[in-house]
Amino acid sequence: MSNTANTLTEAEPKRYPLLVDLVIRLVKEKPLGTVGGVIVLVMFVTGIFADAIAPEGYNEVHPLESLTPPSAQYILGTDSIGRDLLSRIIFGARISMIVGLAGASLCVFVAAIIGTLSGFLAGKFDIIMQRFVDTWMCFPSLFIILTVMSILGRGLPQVILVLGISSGIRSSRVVRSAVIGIKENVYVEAATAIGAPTRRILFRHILPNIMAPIIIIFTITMGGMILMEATISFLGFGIPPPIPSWGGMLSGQARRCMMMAPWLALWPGLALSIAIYGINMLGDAVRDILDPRMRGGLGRYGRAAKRRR
Amino acid sequence: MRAYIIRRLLLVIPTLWLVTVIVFFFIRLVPGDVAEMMVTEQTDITGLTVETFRAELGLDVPAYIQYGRWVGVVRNKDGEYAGLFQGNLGTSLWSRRPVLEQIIPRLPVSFELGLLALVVSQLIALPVGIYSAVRQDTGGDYIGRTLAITCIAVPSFWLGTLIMVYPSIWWQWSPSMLYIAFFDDPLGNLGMFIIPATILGMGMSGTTMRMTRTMMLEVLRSDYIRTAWAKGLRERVVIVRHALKNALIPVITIVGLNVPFLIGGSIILEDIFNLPGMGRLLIFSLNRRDYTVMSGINLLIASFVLLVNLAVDLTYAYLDPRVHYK
Repeated sequence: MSNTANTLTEAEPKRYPLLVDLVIRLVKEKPLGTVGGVIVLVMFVTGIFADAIAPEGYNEVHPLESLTPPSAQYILGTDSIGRDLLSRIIFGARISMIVGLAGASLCVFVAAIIGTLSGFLAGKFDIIMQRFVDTWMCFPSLFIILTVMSILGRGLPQVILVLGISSGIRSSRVVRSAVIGIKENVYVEAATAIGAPTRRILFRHILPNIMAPIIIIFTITMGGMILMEATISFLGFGIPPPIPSWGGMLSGQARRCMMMAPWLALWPGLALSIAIYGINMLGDAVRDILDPRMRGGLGRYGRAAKRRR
Repeated sequence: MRAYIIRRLLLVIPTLWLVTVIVFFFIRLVPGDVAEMMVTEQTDITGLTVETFRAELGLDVPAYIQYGRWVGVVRNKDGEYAGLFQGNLGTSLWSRRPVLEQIIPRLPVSFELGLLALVVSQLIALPVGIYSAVRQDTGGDYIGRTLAITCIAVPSFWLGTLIMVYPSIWWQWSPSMLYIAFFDDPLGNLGMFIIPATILGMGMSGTTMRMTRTMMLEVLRSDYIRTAWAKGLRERVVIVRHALKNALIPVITIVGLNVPFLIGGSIILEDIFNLPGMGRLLIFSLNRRDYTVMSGINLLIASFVLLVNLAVDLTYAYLDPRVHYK
């Protein structure tokens, strides 16, 4: 090992769990990723404590104060039926957070099942499954998601289900290639040789090793999920009003009033852009830390990552 | 090479078949309650009952026969083969007009938007990506990378909304909402498309920019570039003739992979800028639950993406002789 000197200076090299190690390295090595992480954290805190932070409820109407410009009482103004825009954006963070976390979890779950089975079982199952995944990727995601949403009807559970499964199928490729790579390792061969049951090989040898790609998929798809939810809500097929979705807040009744009340067009989109920017920054940093190869080349940190190994 | 092309072409057949299976079982297989809903909503048609309506849609036979009829390998109730093989996508449930007849006039609109967006995205992405790589870690590089990240993070529907609202408030100017056909007024038509195409192209340019930068960085470190420098070639020659050519190969794949993104994004921009393309037709038929039109559009789009992927793979094999064929 090239880093013996390193190990000697640290009296006892601590081994942190994967996630803790990830956070430490993120803060130490990736300033931009840390900024992203902070944005995500702020968004989550806003979402979780929306009831305490928001000045009003998300559906509290003041008919007499509709379309009030930003003022001391309504910092970001009010919408067409006099609801406080700031409160709605704060509650919108909760919706985005739920969609992002639940959707990305479902995505990772689906991707792990399809990818692991396909990569591990190989043979006919793999060929058939991969043709199916190929075919699924032919459908532009917005087309297929809108279509399925119109059949299932609008609603938060439907959005999570459709987004999660759809992108899970797409992401299964990454898991599959990781599993195929791990399968080549001697320790899997050894486990097979001593007659370990398939279940044990899968859970003890394969699954722990695909955690890195799983975390990468999770962080990267989360941004896509939130954007996709906002898009389909904008087009009127996502989360039904009056639940505040950042995308939905830019469509419908608000759209007709934007010329009189331009602040309606500004704030929800700004919140969405900042959130997605943060998640993407975090996702990129996480990917660089966990798997430098996925950047497609040795970038700025390439050499440092190599030395560490 | 020839074996690869043949194998790649043969692979299209099962995928295309699966496309029809997915479209049929996800969309076309109309649930029974929809027939009921449509009967109750079309009360102006006298003597229409759920049973006759189902029979007219062909819902009275088992699903696999419905599929066979839809594809065109099983005779329909009139004893004819009238399915996909015969170029028949069915009839709209609402307007009672052939689906294909409704889709075809909308194709050029979506195609023009997509093509313009592709051109815009490359015009932004390639120069910025190359510059970022050549001047790595300078101020210009950071500006370029920030631009790429911004392009990815800002949602196109928000940008479109802002452009509809703010210029009209500040300068009393807003994008034209009346559709101008290309052959009536080419310049007016381009003027109408350029804003949505730029917004759509910006979304795509982010990923292409980053890919171009990464690939250029990798190529710039290779031995033959060092040789080119050692020969005393000018920077422009080294960058353009030696590095760029090799760096662009994977970029082509990214462009190909982005085509579905481009098509998906066109729905949003057609909706905002009132362009009568496929995206608007999809939204329109989704709102009416017009299953035949919905399935027709999805089928055509998926087949198109399939062909683009095929073209990308073949171009890749042609451009990069290192592609090894197992």
